Amino acid sequence: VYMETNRSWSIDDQRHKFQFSCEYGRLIENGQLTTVVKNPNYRGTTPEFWANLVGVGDRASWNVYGTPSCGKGEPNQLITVGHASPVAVFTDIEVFGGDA
Amino acid sequence: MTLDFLATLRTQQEQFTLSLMAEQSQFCRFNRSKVRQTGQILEASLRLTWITNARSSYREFPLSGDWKYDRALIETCVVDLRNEIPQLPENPYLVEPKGNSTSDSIHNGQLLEPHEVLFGVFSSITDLDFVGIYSAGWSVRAYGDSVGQYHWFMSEAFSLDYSLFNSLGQAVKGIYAGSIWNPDTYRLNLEQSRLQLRRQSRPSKRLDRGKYRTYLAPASVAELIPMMSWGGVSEADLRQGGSWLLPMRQGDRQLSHKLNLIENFGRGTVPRFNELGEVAPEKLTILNQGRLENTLISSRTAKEYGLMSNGATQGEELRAPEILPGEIAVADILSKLDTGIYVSNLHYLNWSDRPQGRLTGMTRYACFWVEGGELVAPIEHLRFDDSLYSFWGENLIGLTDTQECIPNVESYDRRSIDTRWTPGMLIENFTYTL
Repeated sequence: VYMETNRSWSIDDQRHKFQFSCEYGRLIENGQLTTVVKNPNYRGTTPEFWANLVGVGDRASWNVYGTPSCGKGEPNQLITVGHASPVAVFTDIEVFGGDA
Repeated sequence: MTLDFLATLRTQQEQFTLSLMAEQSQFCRFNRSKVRQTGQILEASLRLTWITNARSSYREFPLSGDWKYDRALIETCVVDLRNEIPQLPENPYLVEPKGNSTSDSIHNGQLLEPHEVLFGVFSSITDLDFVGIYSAGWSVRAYGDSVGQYHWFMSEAFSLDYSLFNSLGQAVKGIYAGSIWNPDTYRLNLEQSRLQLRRQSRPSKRLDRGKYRTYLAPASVAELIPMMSWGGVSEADLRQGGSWLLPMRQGDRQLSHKLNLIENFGRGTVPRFNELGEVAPEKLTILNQGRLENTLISSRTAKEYGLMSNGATQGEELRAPEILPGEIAVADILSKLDTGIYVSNLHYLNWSDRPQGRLTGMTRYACFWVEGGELVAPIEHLRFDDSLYSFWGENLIGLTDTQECIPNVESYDRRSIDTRWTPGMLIENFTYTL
């Protein structure tokens, strides 16, 4: 699945178990983008997830992202954050959703 | 003074609304039972909305307290707005202020004096790994406009939002908040947290993913309530297909008849007026025995869809939510749970499939595996993913017969003043996925 537009995020306070949801995705079949999937979700644990990274895009897909409000810590504090990334490929990720 | 000054500036074709947020607060941040940062602030900000020829715009700015400076700033904002507004398109759903409502609501408290805070907070915790924030003082929300409406709401309150940590890095969460600082109540609050921490220090239990009977303590339920304001009770969201309550509006689904949700301004913790000076009813039933009875309708939505406004804010979010209690005695919670999971807190909730009412999040702090009505072991934290139509539907076994007040202790932009009143909930087959 090509997860294109993230719109939901949840992770524990140890940054271990997470779940992200996208609004729009597409199946990848035989190297081609095919059927649109709605509300695809994926979940995992951080070490296993990053251990399953098998490909990183080149500069062509690299972009800067961020959010004006990222909260962490105990007590909670808020800050604007930014980071950059190209596309990336992961294997054996638990994907689900799209009942609507 | 500001209202009078703006009245001299406006022309007959112009209207304005003015919202004030102000506070005088003492903050104290600490960890490992030591003060790390402390200070006092006095701040105020205005939001000035200018309206003319079916167009509007606004400016938000801090006040200095020096009228000479603030007056010049207000004048500059009005000039900017007059230059900006003609360039904007007409807003067919623009609502101008109207009416003649006024209110003046003052809620005094009994707070610790600034020099009393260290002793008051720390005298009972020197043996603990104690981390958190103490904040206290007065907060003001006020409104005025060009047609003469005026509202003033002031409250004095404190909140101590803390966690206790053990040597294994496990934590329990505690909140002591209100308008009257009572050292005995604070000590009792700490004792409850100490007890939970002792229980946390037992060897933890790892549970497989699956469905478990679960008790959600009031603090956990309080984390679910904001989801009602996020693609939930807003009439605009329902009309535009963005609300998880749409199947209920269409008559296809309903929640458990044990569930009742109201907006209750009668407790006096938040103002009833909105950004247009409109006053919401003191009580409004949202869910009545699991059925959607009312939504929140702003004036803008009312104009767009030909409805009557019920004094909701422009965002149509819950401001004074209250879930009514049920019939399970608090003393019977563990026996009724029998075998399952006791969840003290939930964390980082988000929608996984909003049209289906499905959301995800984590257990956090003092959550325990219970067998035969006895707390056995703290659990390794679990992720849940389940639908409100399920766990607030056919899987809702019952609610406790008392409520707790769970205050909003956020202070990112300003100290929050809202609260959530809720019982605990006993749920069958709550779905844990990771």
